[in-house]
Amino acid sequence: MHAKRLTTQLVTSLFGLGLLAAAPAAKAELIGTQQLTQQATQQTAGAQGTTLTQDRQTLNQFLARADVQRKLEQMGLSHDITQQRLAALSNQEVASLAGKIDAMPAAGDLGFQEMVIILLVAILVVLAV
Amino acid sequence: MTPRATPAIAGSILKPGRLHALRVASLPAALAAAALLGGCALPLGGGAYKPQYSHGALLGAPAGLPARAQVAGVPFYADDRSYCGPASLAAVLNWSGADTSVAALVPQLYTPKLDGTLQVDMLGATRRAGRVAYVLPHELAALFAQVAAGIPVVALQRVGAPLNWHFAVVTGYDLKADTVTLQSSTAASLVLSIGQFDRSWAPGGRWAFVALKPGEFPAGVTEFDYLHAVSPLEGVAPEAARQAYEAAVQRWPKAWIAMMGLGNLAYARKDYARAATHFAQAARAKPDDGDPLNNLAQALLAAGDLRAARGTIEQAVRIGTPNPDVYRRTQAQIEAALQRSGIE
Repeated sequence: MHAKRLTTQLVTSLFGLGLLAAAPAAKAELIGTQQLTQQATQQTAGAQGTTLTQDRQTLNQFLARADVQRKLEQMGLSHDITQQRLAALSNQEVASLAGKIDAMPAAGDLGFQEMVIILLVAILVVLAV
Repeated sequence: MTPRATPAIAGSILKPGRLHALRVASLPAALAAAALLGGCALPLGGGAYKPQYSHGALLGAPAGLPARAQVAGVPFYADDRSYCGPASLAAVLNWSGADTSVAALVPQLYTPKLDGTLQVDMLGATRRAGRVAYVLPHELAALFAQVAAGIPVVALQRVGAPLNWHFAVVTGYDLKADTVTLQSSTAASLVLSIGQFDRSWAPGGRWAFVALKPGEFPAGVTEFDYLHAVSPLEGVAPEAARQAYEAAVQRWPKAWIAMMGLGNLAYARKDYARAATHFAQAARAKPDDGDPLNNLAQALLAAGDLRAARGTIEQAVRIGTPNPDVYRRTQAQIEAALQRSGIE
């Protein structure tokens, strides 16, 4: 139903933005400008921890979870809002988000649901009035 | 799960006053989140407050920073509702020469069920307006340096009672008089002490950004940081991205990443000949790197110049860094095209 449609929309928009690393062999592979600025960021930070592909996979797996989908919906994040937010994500923003997701299980005795909400609020939904 | 729960959950986390509207099942989670945010422990922030200004002295002040500055002519849009995001952004976008209004920005920025504006949407809407969104280094000195250069700054604050997130536009400062001047809510000119402002700014990680027309540069920006701010424009405002890359090459003649950006934009427009020109220029500016050669080979392949593409990608494979797997896949693609064309 609605949750399922949101999943499809998210995945579709992620593909549309080239956020999913699924380049078929025949597709032209250019080094994107954002990739270059990201590489240099990692070099200046002195840490070559994760690759962009890994970051995107982490984000993708997180957003594909049914419980995360439900939370997004509960937050009132409609298709349009979700698309706007995704369109605004630079590669570095993806990397930062993936880092937060990776750090999640280490955050103590809060349950997964709680962590999902906190994560979404703190990272995706920092809002100001 | 029901649509009615949506505003309750989102609202209660950010506005503790609305907690009564919560559904029972969501209560522990919302409380945990509220405690985290209310306790001032945002994952990005953290740590005790460390002042960056005391008695006229500013931490890390750039040489030659004037003792005071005021940006003139920043349009002001009063807001007494929840439109601090649209009002602040309209001010800096119109200051930068864009033609927009609070009403035009509300649909892009304001999320009714959350009753506010998302931080990233501020950057996204700036990019959609064809302006470069540059997030400042997280320090007072960097913020004041923009104001001194005549650039107004949008800053994220934590203010009010109960505490709430808020966007305002910094238009002036005075190190001797110990003041920061802002456009905030209904005040066209709100004056705070530097310490007051900094304590309201620190909880959000001292987050602030400027919105600039392509060709104008933030004060003290490095070549790399500027290009990092420009590159997300490629998808949403390609013409603005092109102008910004051109300006970057003017300012930093060896800015090979800007040349790559120009090439990638041309490739996206299917102007492969021009893309090849830009990539070749980037390869000359950065001869020890395989990436410009990989893109040059792709542009040559798309333009149908298979032999030149082969020679170019062989060079990239020889250099072999930083993306050897990509170069080998491009090479295989070119070899396959050569076979299909009967040249081999």
